[in-house]
Amino acid sequence: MVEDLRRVARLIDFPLIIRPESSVYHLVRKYIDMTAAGLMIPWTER
Amino acid sequence: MVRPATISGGVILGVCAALVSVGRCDAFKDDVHFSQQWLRSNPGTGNSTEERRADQSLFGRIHERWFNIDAALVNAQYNLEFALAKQGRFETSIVTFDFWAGHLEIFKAEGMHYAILDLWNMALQACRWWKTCAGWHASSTFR
Repeated sequence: MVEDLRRVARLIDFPLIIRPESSVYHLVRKYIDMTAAGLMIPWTER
Repeated sequence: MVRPATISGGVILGVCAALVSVGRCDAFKDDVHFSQQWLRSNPGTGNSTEERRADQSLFGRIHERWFNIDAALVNAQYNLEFALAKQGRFETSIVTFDFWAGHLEIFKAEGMHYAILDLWNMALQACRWWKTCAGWHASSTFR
């Protein structure tokens, strides 16, 4: 689902910002590899 | 001794009940027809339509275009989708209850600047640069 959305976003030149399920390495890396326009990292407030 | 007026009244009442039943035949033919009739005749449908007419904002247009069901009708909509799915007809359930890549094209066509896919809340938000967003959740808890 995420990959489909990201692929369409690239095709139509529409920025898609992804907020991962969690701020863990493997998830963030996966979405960076999908070339998301931006990431909103959750659970970073102190 | 039964009076003729009572018999006539009973006959008229029976005919009226039969006419009502005939009128409802289509709605009770199967689950799909029942669910469609439920959505058409639900009082919430009329209210939400009037509200949409009054609201000509950007988000109102998007709602009307792609999410043409009201939150109060989610259960009825679900029943319709379930009945369709039992018949092997999945054409509408994807659009209604899941994120669809075509949403992004709609957002762009409606002048939105970017979208946020919130996987923590399972929501998709369409936004403008000045931070006005409209969001939808996956499954039956959109808006």
